[in-house]
Amino acid sequence: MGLITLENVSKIYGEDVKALDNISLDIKEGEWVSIMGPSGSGKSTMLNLIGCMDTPSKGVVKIDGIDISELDKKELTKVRREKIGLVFQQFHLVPYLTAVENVMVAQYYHSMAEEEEARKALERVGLGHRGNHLPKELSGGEQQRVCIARALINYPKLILADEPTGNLDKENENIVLDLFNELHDQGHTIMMVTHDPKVGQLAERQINLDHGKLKDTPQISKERGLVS
Amino acid sequence: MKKLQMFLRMVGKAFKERKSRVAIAFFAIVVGVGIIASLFSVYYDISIKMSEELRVYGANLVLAPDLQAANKEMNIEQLDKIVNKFDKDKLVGYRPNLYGVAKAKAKGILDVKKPVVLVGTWFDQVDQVNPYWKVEGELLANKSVDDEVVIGKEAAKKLGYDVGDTITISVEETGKEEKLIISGIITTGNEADSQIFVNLSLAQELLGKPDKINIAYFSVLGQNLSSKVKKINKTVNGIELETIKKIASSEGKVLNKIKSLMYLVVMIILLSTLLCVSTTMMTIVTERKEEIGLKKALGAENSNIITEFLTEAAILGGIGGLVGYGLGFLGAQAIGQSVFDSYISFRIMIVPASFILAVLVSCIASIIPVRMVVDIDPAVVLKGE
Repeated sequence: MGLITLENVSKIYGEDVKALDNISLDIKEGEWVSIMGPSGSGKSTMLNLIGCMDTPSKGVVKIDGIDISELDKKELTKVRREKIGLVFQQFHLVPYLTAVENVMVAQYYHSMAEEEEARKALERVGLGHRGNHLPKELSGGEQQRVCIARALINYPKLILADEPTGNLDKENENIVLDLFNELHDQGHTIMMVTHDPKVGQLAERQINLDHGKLKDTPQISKERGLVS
Repeated sequence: MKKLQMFLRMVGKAFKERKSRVAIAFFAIVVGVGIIASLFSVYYDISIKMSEELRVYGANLVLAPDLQAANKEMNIEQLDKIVNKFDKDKLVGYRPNLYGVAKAKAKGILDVKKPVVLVGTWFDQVDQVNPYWKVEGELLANKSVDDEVVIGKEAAKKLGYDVGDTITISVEETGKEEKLIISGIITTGNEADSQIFVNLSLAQELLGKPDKINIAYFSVLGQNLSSKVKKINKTVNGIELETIKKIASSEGKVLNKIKSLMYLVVMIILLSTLLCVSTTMMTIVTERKEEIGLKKALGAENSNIITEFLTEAAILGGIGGLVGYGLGFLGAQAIGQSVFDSYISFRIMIVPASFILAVLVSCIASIIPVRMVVDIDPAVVLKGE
């Protein structure tokens, strides 16, 4: 059984708007999967379900063996807190907290805020020297790296990234993608939503969505080459 | 400890981030609590101040033998017993009277004696019990003066005497007669204007009633005199203490009206403070919607976020309450000076009361904003919707 399992999952809004339509999917531990598709294809809905920010209308979503389909909001928050590290397109850093404090926020809600550990996490993403800076004093790439450090600080089972390079210039995009490569090489499970086919191809597996349904999912080698 | 440090760090920085908004809510609390603290400070003193002011209109209690008593006289010891039942700092003064009928020679007409009411009293208590008496000349210096007399304005007119004249007073029942120098003529606006006053001890001697008195007037400070009087009456026999309704009831009516007005003003101020703080907190929550969504996405539960907001509200309220009290106390002094021409006393209990009130107002005002926190969906907020 994979780290993430979706069995016949549908998400229906209103009476018949199907954001996801009978999706079945299995993501193994250590895998890097990209979710691709045009706007309105159901990427965000899938991200919300796997990120425990929503529950399916039909089917089963399992994260690390826990069926989240029937969980209430409090229980969903707990699973998200324990199992998932989130990286956002818009970075979403608390503007009045420094880089290190932004990392510590995630620690604080998880267990204990340890500044030393938070600084180490920043060093890991190459921002050891920027810990005392406010988000507005950091470049977009640096903010995204703080976001990645925050996502990693509680040792999550899954890193869920929503268009992590969508707001970055080429140079910063490369820095951030290199970081994801490193994380993957270290054995992290990564699920990344992206519009960019080049970014998507970095993953081991692409999941293409269209109108809430799965399209063919080409397998990609570890060396990032297309194999099927 | 580290968790608490991080919590305080977040709360402190959140304050700093929204200085202007926080300042508005803080100002509303300071003004609201300031006015309320000022009103309460004045109110606690007002009963004392009012009582002191109303003492100008004379005694508010009277002691006399009760209606069933055959003899309408009582002993001075009975008076002492009643006096001991009052706190010394509340008892402004008390003046016993012994009444009798005497005859006074009219000035310049030989052997024409006119009946007058002779009153024995303590002149050193007149300023305390009857401060409204107007005296031409002087009152008797002390209780042992036995060759001077004070006469009412009407009596002086009727008998034709002035200050410094000598008047002969005689009592038929005892056959005693005294020549006394008129030291003062009083104007009181009541029956005392037709009476002749001597020291109590001299009256007792002339009337042949040693240690006796008929009545005693008290001037006492404080509220709820009626219940105090009832308690005292239960402990004594043959005599009865009563409130002088005219003074006591007007005092009570004024205080009740002031109390009602104060409650009304306090309610209005509390409501407006609540509205102002609540609106500001709602704006703050709306502005921090994304941050709240983010924290929830990072694993914060509603209770975590609510605790953060309520702590911010409580700190804001607590500091606002203390500053408000300080300003309120100064305001109370201004009121005390302008209305009563005296300072309002510091009452320690109003400090914690202001603090608790401000914290409560601030937290209650945050209930609606905090409910908004619960409704914030991290997924929606993080998508920027």
